[in-house]
Amino acid sequence: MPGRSDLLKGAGDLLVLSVLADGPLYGYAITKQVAAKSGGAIRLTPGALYPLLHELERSGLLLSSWETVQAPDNDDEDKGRKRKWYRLSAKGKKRLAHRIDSHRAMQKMIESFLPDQA
Amino acid sequence: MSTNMRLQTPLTAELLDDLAADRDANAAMDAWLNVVSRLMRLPPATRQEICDELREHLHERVRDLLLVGRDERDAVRTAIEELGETAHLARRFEAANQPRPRRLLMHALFTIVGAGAVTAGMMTFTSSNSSPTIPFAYFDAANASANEPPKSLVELKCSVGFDDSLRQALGNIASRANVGLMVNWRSLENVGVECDEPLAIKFDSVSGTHAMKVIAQAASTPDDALDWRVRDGGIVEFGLRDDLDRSEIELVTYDVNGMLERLHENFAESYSDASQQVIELLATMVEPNRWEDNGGDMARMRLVGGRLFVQAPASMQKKVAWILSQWPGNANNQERASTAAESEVPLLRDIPILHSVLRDSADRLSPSPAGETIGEPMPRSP
Repeated sequence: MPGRSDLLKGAGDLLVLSVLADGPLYGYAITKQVAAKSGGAIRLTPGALYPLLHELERSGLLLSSWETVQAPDNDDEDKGRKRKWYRLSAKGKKRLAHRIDSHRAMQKMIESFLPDQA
Repeated sequence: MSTNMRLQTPLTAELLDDLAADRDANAAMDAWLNVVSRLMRLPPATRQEICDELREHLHERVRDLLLVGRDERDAVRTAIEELGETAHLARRFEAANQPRPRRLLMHALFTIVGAGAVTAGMMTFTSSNSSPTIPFAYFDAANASANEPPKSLVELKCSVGFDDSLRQALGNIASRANVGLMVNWRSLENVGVECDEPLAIKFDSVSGTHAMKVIAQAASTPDDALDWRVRDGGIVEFGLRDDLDRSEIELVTYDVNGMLERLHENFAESYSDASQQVIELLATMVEPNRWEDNGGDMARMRLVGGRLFVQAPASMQKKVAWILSQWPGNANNQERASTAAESEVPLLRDIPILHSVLRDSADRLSPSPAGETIGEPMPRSP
């Protein structure tokens, strides 16, 4: 839908923090969760998502931990893949609350400028 | 393997084909990750972690694509393509892993919804963190300087001794200038300010306002700057700069339509470029670390239809207003930015932008002629 991706610019961190508010997730699960919550309308680009996750972690908004995943079809028992789980830090929870408040205030403000739809 | 000589370069369509043609999907992904890893100028441990994370993503994605009936070669190729061009991806990871102050608006965090003609130019409302609703709104240009420091403080000649603590120094100034003093000592102690230890500064016969500034600087910690404000009724509030600023966050819109048009005509390829130039200018010049899009939590801005919405403390709004006033046709283009950043910044009323007033939060815009005042004066920093 034209315009929608424009409107989502800058909302990436809000989306990520919001889905992580429900519990820890890893990168690919975040993309699926965002897609599911938006009924498929929003697809996070992985090339943007992973750097964003790193940035949020570096800012202290997210904490991470590693899990070793044993793929069922993996013959080599020692060769498990590594999965990085992210969760909100206390600072991240606070930031999310701020972001939601200011997003709503901004939304309300902008709405007051829009003409009434016929 | 035929990809070896290409590993030095960003991913090309041919390389993708080579990778996808590889019979072993794991080997194809590893080869691609190897390319990305080499392109990132980051410590080896960081690169390894990034590759581990991306490898897991690729495996999951390929598995899902196989489940919907794609063949393996196609699935690998799609999963890799979705991550984007290797050099670009590497730059993004580098930027995300830079130490603070961080990257500047790497992904242009703003919205353009056309640049239609707009009439009213500026409005503002103050916003409080504690309340989820938008409070009563006003911009009081006529009384913009209402919260100037009390005369008794300006004219006071202060002395502070080497052994005076923060508590003693502030108490002394407040009682001699006969002004009310408001300090949340506990919040200061919580961030490690030593309120009862010697400040280790000494001065004589300094004005009260300057003394407050020097004391605030002396008592600040590396992580938390202290500052002071004059509140309604001439009460002096001393505290964490972030807390003081947070209580003064307001949403102001600036009409930047003319400016965007001028930029577009002369310096930018499109409105979008012009808008980005404006946003980047403000985000670099006005306290960069405090913008949400730069990783801060104090201010944000968006451009919608020729209007720039800035939600930020009053002190930052002044700097934004000053910068926007520098375009031809606006006033005060002689003044130096450093002066503005420090103290004497033109007030919002000095910019040739009309202002109007948002009367309340009930979605009702109430235009008012320039200079009309509704409500109480907006809080001002000293």
